[in-house]
Amino acid sequence: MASTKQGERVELLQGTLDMLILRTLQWGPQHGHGIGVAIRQSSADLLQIERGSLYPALHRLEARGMIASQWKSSDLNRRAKYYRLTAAGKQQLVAEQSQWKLMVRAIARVMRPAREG
Amino acid sequence: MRPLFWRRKQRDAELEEEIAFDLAADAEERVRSGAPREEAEQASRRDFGNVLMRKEDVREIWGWMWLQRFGQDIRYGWRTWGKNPLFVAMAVLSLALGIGANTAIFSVMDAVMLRALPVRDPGQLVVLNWRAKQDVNDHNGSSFDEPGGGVASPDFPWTAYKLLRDHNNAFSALFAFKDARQLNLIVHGQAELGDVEFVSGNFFSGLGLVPAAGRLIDTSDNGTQVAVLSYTYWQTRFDGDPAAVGHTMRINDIPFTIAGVAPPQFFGLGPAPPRSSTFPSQIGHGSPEITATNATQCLSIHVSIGSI
Repeated sequence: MASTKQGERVELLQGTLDMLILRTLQWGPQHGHGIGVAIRQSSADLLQIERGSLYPALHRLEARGMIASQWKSSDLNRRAKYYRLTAAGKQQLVAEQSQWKLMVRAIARVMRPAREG
Repeated sequence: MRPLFWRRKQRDAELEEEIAFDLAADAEERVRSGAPREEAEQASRRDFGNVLMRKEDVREIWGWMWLQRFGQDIRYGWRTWGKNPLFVAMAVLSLALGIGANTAIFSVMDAVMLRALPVRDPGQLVVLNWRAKQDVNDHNGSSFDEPGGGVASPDFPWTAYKLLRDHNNAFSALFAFKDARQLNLIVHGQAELGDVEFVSGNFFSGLGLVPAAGRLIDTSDNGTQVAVLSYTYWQTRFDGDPAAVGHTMRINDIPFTIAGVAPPQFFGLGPAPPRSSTFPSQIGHGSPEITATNATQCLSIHVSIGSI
């Protein structure tokens, strides 16, 4: 969205989009567009995600059984495909979350001297 | 389950709809924040990225999904097998028996009904049976119960066959053969078991067969000890050597002179071709095989047998 200047946005780290989608769906079923909006808003528009790239990720997660889908009517007067977390998806989210925390800590540890020096 | 192409079409349509919803919802948001509709729709499209490329990405994932599901199905199948070994054994056994039985039945049908005998005019051949109102003492259990009561059998006493043959005015030939089952055959000093059939002197001429080598048994051989080899036996035991003709072989230790070799397709008149066979000249009982000119004549023979 145009509210943030291009220079302040960052490219998504490879492999983290799946995790973000799972995390977003923790709050309840949502359609693809809603997931995109939620990620953008909760990252305060800092993450640069091409809207189209959500769909291959959603279908991949569905194929792996992490999420399930259902067509439902939406507030836009047309039906939308809503995704929800499956039990396997919830487990995966927990695993990825702790792994993510570990990685952030590890990378921060490595990067700290450079920042301070 | 719907056909595969139909599901693929439906999935494509759903992906189309899913992306269209995204574009519409995004455009709607832009309109709500003040942009003119046309501009909002253009911006939404631009912001989405390359629609065709994204669709292709998703289709590629579907391809992998199919493979993955297939793998899951196989793993699931294996697990289920492991849990129910008895059920699997039963299933495999019944399939095996079913296939085996069908193959066996077809082999017999093929030999009996579909394949014509490799003889002259196979459609003209008839088997002569005798009939009796009540059970008789037959020598080898070859008689069978008739549907209307009584018994019938294709096995005739030798004297009965001779009588019929000498008073035959209905058929072009009346000849006899008898399965001797497996006998001891000695060739070149080596013994082995082989299928043997006894035949009357007019057997080969009655069937109109042409020898592959040498000559076939004829009526002039009556009372002499001569044998005709089947083509396969000639090939395996004598390597197809024409010099086998005139050779002496021993059948149950009785010396027989090899007169010749039967044509390649001929294995005798039984349904299953024996592995190896010889046709020694007639001995003992014969069951007459008749070449009929028509069925009524065949019938009159039956009547005359009844009076014997």
